[in-house]
Amino acid sequence: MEFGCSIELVDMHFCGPNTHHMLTKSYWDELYKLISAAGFRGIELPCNPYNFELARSGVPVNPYVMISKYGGHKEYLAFLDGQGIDEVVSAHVSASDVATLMKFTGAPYPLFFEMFKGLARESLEFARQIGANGLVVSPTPEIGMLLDLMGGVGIDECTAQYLPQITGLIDEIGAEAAQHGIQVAVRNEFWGLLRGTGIEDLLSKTDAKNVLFSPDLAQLAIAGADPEELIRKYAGRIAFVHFSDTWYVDEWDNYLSKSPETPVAGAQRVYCDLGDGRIDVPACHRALRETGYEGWVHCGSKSTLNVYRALLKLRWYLDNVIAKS
Amino acid sequence: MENIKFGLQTNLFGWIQYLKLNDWSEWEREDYSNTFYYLDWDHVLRCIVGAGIKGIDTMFWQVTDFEQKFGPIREFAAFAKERGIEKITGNFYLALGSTDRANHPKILADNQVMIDLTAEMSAPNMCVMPAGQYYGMGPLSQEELQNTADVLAEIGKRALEKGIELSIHTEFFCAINKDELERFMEMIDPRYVCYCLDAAQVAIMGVDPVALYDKYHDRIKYFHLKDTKTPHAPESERYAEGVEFHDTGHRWFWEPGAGEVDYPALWGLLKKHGYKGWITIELDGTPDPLASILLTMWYIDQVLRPIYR
Repeated sequence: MEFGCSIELVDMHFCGPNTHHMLTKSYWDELYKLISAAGFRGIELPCNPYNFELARSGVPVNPYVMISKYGGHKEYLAFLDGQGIDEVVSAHVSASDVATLMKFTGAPYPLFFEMFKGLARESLEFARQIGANGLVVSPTPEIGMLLDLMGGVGIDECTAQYLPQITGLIDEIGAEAAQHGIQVAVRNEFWGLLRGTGIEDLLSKTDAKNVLFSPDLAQLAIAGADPEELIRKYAGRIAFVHFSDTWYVDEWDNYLSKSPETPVAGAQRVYCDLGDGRIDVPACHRALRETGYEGWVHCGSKSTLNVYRALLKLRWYLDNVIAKS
Repeated sequence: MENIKFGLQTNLFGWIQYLKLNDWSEWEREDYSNTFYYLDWDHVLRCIVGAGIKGIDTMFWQVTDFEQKFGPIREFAAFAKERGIEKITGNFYLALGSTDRANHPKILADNQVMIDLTAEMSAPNMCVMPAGQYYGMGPLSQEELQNTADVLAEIGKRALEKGIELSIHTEFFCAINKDELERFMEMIDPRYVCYCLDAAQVAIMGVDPVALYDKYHDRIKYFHLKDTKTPHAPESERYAEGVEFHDTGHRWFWEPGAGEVDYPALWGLLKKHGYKGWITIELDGTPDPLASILLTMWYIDQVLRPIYR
């Protein structure tokens, strides 16, 4: 088992003091050094070519940035090596980004799968170019966004329409990725149609070799699933595990909203730094070890208010809690 | 009665994530920093009004983000008003690819969406970056410039139908740069399009913003108030790819009075030409939004208002 770091640590929707600096290459150049100094030699990058600010900045999230800021993918990897990062382990693509773009441009729902397929293929190429051996796919947008895009249908109809199509698409992407030696794994957020144990439906209908499961501990727990149980159940079909944490309890059915990660009612802080929340991370680690998992575990503290402190806390937690568990 | 009122472009805060934080202690107890002071519109707007600023400008991505997260954008205008914001003074959008007529239908459709959203906020102005970055595009031919001027006239006409004045905003890295600026100013249709003078942007280009205003004061009807310590940047900088977010972290923009723009001279011209209206403070690039807002208000009160208010 190897531990990497998810770049999700940095909120891509920067907010607060020095927000513009976080969009510059210099911020990221330094961050790579700090990730390495915190003992992480592998990272996961999101792929999002749509976001206006990210597409013209130094944030390493799409092919354009690799070319404009580093001179190309090979040069980017060589640069990472110099900063102390050995590899980009996986890339992450989310249906949420497609839904956001559609909402913004007014594109009609029937175009959704074509657009998602396009993004997934672009992400696959991105993963291939940066030498990643995995593509983590979040297969559904926020339920609230999807319902909105579909024009006011109920959740049952939405599910009945969406799931067969996305299942087919994920299978297709999985097969295409396998041809390039890239492993696809699905990650289910607490706000998606496949939340919690809902992912099992997709897993049961897709090729077990080409489509693996990428469990994200906090996402599963918020959705009411037991991450340890799912890790044990899907042993052998797991890749790119995400260690994450939360205190959040979704008492207001916020998962149905269009913006579930920034709740309006009740508690609003959805994620916390790894080790600070209610997830029994050591138990999940034991489950991975006992089931013979030998892949990567990406550690993250999503939406942390202090990236640098969170990085050091990750290392402390791995060395002093996980290693001793 | 003052001739000039001040608004603030809110992009200095980034993507403000929440409408209103319900309980600060939820954030404070594990963090003990000031980061959460900037997480929600409620507190940000209170800070802006507390500093004596009564208007705000938005960026297009804030508007769409708001619609996605919180509901119709007209509700944002009411939300802001409840906190003391008199007016949402403007919104910012783009016309990337405008040099090619083949792109015009999409540009018009996208801008129509933004015009409608701007109208929903009852904002009287929409700034538009008229073309993409210089890198990969410039120098533009006369035909390409004309294509851009034509589509902007059409956007301006549509904006005017909704009671919105369209202003062109030329960034220092824009395809319409130092060598094109005055030619382009002459090409825009003044019935439908005016110019937003961002003094720092044109100073970085190597254009004197004071002289530009004196010459084109009849076409310049909107202002972005910020400063730069690096005017006359060389072409190798301005024409580089993705240069707005400089690879070294170099900060292009500073608080008014902290750089090289001759604001007292510009204020003298505002007085001479009898400018009346809103002026938008822009502080993108600051590491400390509240300090920058207060430093700007000090400069306005102590240096600019004695010249013309």
